[in-house]
Amino acid sequence: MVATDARPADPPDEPPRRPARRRRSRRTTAIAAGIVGVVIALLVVLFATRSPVSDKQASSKLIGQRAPELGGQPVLGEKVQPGDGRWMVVNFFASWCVPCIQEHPELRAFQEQHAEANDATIVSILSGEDTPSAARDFFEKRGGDWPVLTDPDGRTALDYGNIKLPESYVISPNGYVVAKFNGQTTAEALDKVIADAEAAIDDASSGSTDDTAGGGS
Amino acid sequence: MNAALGTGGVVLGLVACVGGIITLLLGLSGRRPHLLRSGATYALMALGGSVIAVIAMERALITRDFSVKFVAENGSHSTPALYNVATMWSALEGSILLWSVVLSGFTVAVVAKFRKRLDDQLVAWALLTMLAVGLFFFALMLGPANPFRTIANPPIDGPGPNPLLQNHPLMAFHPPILYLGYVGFTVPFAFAIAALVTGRVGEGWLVETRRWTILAWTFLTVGIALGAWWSHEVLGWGGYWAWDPVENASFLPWLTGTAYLHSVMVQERRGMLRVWNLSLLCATFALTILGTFLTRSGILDSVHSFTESPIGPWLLSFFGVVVAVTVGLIIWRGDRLRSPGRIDSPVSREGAFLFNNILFGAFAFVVLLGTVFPLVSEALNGERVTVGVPYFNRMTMPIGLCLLFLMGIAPVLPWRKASAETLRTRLYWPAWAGAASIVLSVLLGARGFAPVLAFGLAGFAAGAAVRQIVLATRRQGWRGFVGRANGGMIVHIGVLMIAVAFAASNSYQHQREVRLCERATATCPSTATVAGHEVTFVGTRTETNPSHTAVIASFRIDGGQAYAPQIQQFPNSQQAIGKPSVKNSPTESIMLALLDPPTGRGAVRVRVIVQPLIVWLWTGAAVMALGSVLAAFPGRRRNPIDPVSAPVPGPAEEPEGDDEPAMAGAR
Amino acid sequence: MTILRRWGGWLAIAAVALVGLGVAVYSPGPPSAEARERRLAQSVRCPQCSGQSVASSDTASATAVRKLIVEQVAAGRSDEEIRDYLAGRYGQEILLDPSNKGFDALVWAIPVTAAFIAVGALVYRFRDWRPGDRHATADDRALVEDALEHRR
Repeated sequence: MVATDARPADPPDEPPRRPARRRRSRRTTAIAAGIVGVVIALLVVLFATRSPVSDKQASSKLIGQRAPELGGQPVLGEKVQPGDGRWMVVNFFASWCVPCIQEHPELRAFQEQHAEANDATIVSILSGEDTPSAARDFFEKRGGDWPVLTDPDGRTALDYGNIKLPESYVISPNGYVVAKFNGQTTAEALDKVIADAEAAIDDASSGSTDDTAGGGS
Repeated sequence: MNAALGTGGVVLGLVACVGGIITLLLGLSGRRPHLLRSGATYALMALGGSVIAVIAMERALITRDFSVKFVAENGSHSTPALYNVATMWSALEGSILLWSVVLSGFTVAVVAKFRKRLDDQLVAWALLTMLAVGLFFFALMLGPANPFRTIANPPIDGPGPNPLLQNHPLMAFHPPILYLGYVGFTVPFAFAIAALVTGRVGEGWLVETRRWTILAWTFLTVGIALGAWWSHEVLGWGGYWAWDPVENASFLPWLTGTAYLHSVMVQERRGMLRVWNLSLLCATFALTILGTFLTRSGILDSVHSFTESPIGPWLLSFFGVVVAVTVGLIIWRGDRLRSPGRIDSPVSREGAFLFNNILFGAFAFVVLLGTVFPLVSEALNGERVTVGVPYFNRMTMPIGLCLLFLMGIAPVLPWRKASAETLRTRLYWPAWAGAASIVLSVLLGARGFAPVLAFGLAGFAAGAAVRQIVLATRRQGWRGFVGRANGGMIVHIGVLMIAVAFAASNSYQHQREVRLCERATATCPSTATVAGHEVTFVGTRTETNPSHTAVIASFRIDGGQAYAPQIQQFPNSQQAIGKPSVKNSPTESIMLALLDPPTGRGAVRVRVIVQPLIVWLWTGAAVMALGSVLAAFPGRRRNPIDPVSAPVPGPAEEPEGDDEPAMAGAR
Repeated sequence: MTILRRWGGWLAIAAVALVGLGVAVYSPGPPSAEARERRLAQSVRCPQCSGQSVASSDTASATAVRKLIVEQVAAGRSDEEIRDYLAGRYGQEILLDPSNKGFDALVWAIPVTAAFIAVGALVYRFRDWRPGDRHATADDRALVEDALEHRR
């Protein structure tokens, strides 16, 4: 090894570049590994905080909008439309759907509670894949006295954005969608929605002093 | 009795893993070789435990022992025998049981293969890692995924597996083969961890585990292909790959595994890309765990929906541990992973493999991003979006085209550097093959820039692969088909068949729904023509089996034999399941799917789907499997100094690259 | 002269390939209504399925959406309008393609950005490379001869 005397700072018999390369490549590896580690850690946190899909609450796009018209023909009862002065619960169901069967007594209870005052009604929409006779059997077996409409083209379901069975949409007496239930509902939950909505309307009409408030519900 | 036996087996397995881990740790720390050798016994015990558990479960299923909760929820008197056995892996707990038995089997196989070297630290650490993974899965079976829970009042009959899991025999084969692939990657992963821990990150462990990796990769490839075939046969829409989260979960480890198989050649040859290889291998294993998590936790919406279970947090934690351990080890051993050389030229075999790694990494990144983006968007933006087929197709297409191009030039690139001269000579005939493919496909009616470009690049790559094989067989006779490089070319040909079939069937599909009557009337004909094929309605009949009733409609296609799509009704399910019928030919597949049961007036509605080149998908997968078996075949070991080609002529031409890489051999 | 001999074949290849691609790309006219309907149907998710498009699902809601698409295409609405209408009913997640505005554009932007970074890193890594023919020199040959002799 030829000794260099020009630069006293470099020890002459040590290869000049390798230590720097070793440090640099180790540092590069460490940085790259660190970045990967952080990204994966974030991913793990993300996964850990997700709840399963079936728990997901879908907020309907229709809330606050006018309720779409109901199509189809009546299988039971007579055809009604939202906004006829009563609270309306539009319930999508099918005769084979097990959660629909489970929620049916709740719907019956709700209907019976409001039957006398006639301030609220349920309207069941039969899934396009089901048959009217199956629906008639369903209601004969399990009771229930409210209009049931068909939906052969699935048009009503599409208009409401119906995805799964059962789903219920609560519509105000003047025809605006107030709430959506993904899956089964109970009479209590329906009543609560109605009560909350009525309270909100009362607050709105009594709270404002500058504007002339529109009348009641 | 079954439940007790099964639980006993699981406990035995768990105890064996714990015992094995402790023994091996003691042996490693105290340098006691006899303790290390006894690790083999524990592996055998673990296998014994899992086998007992599997026997117990199958016995419970076959005898319809409904006191076992798993059988009560998934078994049924009316399920036929083959599907009854397959019911074990039709639901979560049983599939964890399947995983355990396959993992124990691989552990014992490792012990057997390395039985003369059990006191080697590397082997001991690898065995320890495998037992640790086994411990996790046995613990799962004693915790959230217990297959042997009992119920007090057993029902008289169970609902049976999901009807879609009962109407095609592929159900019995797809999951076990897929698991052989998943679990198989545990072996090279264990050796990678062992190499990092012991600091022996040279090429020795790679060479040892090369065949294990090829085996696992082959099973994974076949498993994914069987899944695609099964979807095609069963779903009635002509689709076979929907970029569904569960499908992506199995595809991700395949991508990193394939990248690893290529990149490892650079390490064997020149000791480079060590960090890439370790990362890819550990990523493959981690992705199998992550994939299982995504599939089983229910956080992603998928057609392969499984019932939810509390297994999610366990799998996620295990995934986190695996990643943390891997990253930590790589950082710790970073300096030993520095390679002795650098890639001098991007136009060289090493450069091509580096690009290959990057492309496959990008592919995996895009698939992973698309799969988890709905979760990200929900967390950060409040609204969940759907990332579906259009996104994946659009994003992966450029990557796929680049990979096709790379498949064409990489086999002809020599190591270290290539000159323009070399490329010009060697790529000449492959380039003509590519141009000819473009012309041929256009003449056959193909239109559209992307598919035709894909056909051209596939022809180019096929030309390069065939050229390689022709040269090898000229030099070595039948041995020109075996060995890593030649087998690899056959695998490439299989991949190209699949690529061409994918492009063709996605772009040139015809479908129509027609209404036909048995007796032709003015409004309801008995024959329809779809994409040049005549479909004639012949008749219907009903069939009753123990497990289901079926309405079967027969059709003749182009006057040939009858094809009979059905609609099946299973007793425990409300929805009727359609079972389509497919006529396959080498150029086209015609699928008939019965849409409605025949009306009283004898009219049926049937969907006719004509797709080109579908059979090439399954044949291509078979060719890939064949090629990888050939690749695992031992090639002739040659003295690295022996010349393999003509002597170096003049300055104008460079010698042919050799096809068998010199074994680096360094331990 | 030598250039033509060296590269003549390649020029022919390029010509053939380009002509072929040109024929493939030439498309006669705007897409038909049926093609539009099919493309739209493949980009909308079946409402009650998990990820399948309405083009590949037989459920009632999928059939209803397909009918709606046919009606709206016949009524002359643009693709964008039809997609917006459906998103207004079912929410953004009905569309199989994340939109390219706002947050969702990230899913398109991230891979493209990563690709640029990767290309940049490669260019930086190989910045010293120059293409050029390197021939075996006399010294190299002498080395190889020596090694072969001594091994044998």
